[in-house]
Amino acid sequence: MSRLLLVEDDATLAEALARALRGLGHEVAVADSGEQALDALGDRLTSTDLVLLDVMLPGVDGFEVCRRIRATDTVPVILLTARGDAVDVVVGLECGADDYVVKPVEPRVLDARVKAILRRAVPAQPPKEHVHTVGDLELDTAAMVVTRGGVELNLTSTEIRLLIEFVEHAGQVLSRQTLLKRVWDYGFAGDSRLVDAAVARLRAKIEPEPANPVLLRTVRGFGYRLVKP
Amino acid sequence: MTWRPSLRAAIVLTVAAVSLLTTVAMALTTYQLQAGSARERFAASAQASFDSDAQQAHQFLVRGTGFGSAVDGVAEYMRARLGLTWALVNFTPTSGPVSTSADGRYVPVAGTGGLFPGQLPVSEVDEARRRWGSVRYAVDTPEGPQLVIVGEVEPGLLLAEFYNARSLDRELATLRNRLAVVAAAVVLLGGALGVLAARGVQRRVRTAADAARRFGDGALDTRLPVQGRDELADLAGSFNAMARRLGESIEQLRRKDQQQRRFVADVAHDLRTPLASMVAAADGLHSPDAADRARSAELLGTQVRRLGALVEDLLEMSTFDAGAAELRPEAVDLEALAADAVRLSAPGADIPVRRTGDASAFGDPRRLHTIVRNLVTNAVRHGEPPVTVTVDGTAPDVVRVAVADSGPGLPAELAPVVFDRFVRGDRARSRTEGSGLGLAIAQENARLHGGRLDVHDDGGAVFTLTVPRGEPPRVG
Repeated sequence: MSRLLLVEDDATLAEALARALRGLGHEVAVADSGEQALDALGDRLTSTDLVLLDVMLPGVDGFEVCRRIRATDTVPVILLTARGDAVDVVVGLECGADDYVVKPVEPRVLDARVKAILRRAVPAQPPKEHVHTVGDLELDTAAMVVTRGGVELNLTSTEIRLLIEFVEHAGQVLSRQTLLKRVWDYGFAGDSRLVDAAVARLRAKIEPEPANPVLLRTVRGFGYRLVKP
Repeated sequence: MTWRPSLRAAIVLTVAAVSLLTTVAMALTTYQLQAGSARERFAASAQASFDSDAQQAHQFLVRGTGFGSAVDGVAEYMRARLGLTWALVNFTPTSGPVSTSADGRYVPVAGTGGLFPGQLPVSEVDEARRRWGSVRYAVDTPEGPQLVIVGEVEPGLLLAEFYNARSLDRELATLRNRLAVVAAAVVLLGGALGVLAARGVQRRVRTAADAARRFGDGALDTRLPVQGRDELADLAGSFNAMARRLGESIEQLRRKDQQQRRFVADVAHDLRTPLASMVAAADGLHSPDAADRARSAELLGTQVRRLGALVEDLLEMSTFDAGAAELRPEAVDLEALAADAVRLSAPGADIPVRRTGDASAFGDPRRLHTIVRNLVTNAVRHGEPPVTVTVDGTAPDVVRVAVADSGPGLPAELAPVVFDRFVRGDRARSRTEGSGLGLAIAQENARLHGGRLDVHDDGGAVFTLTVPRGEPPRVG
């Protein structure tokens, strides 16, 4: 049972989607504007597991809402977009969204995506070693916390899972498909731009110089590789 | 293959050729004039000298005695004139020995050295004798050209003086050389000026060519500086005008393209939203809960209708875009039509239809109905009640239908785009049930009638349809 916040301004779609997701065993709260959604998150910070966010909202649009959520919170966000053009997807993922779906979406598909993301929030199996060192970072896989010099970094669950995946295979090249499978739990249907966007966000948080990465290197044509500690 | 010189070469060659021609012509004319006057001066001074000699010789004869004959006297006088070549021809026996002629020439009876045969032709000498004056003629001798003056000193006694023209020839040769040098200098100078002029023209032409190339490469803001008022300035002006117009056209095309993209994106969005609701609601049809099933069916129904209306509107719009919209005019009472449109689009609302003047017109009733219906629906959805409809038939050739609401009026930023596609009263795309095409379709319909739609604020938004009364459709 997960608690979802659905942000959608089209009343009919909000009702239909909320109904369908409730039928699939979720608890759904509905907000019809970005402001209302941010208020709701502020009030019940602990009780929202995931946000389903429509891109085209009156007033503050979905991208901006996503940015504002990310400024304070690591709750997973799935963008709902009706346009589905490349720009929307890229901009959305750059705003810090964990995933996106294009309307119309089957409630079952949405459910699967939600579950996949929520699974990531919980570590798959307790690794043998709890604490890893990457550069000047310390990664505690039991507590799911990354610290630099004792200060905790604000990483989302997707970003932490991605970092763990890299740490466990340090020095190896991981392809985007592999990462999609292992971190996102998607098959070939996944969008590899998800990986690129998440890697970019991760770099922004862990690299001393994100534009010139030294820890998480791109291997052109193959994927990404974390340098051996 | 014909040789095509570059612009620069053509200009230089033309300037050089023109300056060569004019210089040569000038030099020739100058030479002719100079040579003529020099010859005249030479002849005049020779004549003066001869006249003086003839006069002196005569005086010498009159005053002096002690010589045998007139021939001797003149010869004696002439001998005193050193450095001059002369000869005497005598026809009077009393004056001394008489000259004989041979081969058409006279043999002189006295004279200096340096004489050559043939210098005293009979015809010239006889001419001088007959005229009682002097005759000038030129002869060529091994010592150079000579100007000969023959004239009578005493009756029947003729004096001939020979003036060597070599110095004159030398003078003229010098003149020729000088003129040639000057002409050459002028031609060279002309050529140099031609090169300069060509360079100037070429530079400006090259600038124009570069500008055209840059423009072709996509720098649409390329302009040429307009200098002076010559043809090249004219060219620059024309280029700039062309560039401006082309730039505008391309900008317009880009805007159109952008609009088209936006339109497609808007259509995609507006088709997907009801579809998304339907897909989500479809699951609810299998719910074990009866109320849930009923609500899902209801949701499905409204969304199917919404999608249907949108598809209808899109098809209508595409008919207009394709220019395939057909007008079927007939006599219409716009008051009755407006009342019917109000009944259909706002069944519950109390909307009065007022009329002034004659409300009859020829138009396509279906299309006019659509316009009024869309305006009324728009007023009810976005404006505030009370809404009023006024049919104004007081003008002779047009009928106006005004739909007014009592709301806050049209937001200023919406006024210029209110008839555009997918422009909605609030920024939320999906808030309203409308397709976002209602006013665009109404406007296309109005245009099809040769009329128009306007909007202004008058205690609320007032949309006015103006249609011409039209003419009865031609039968057949």
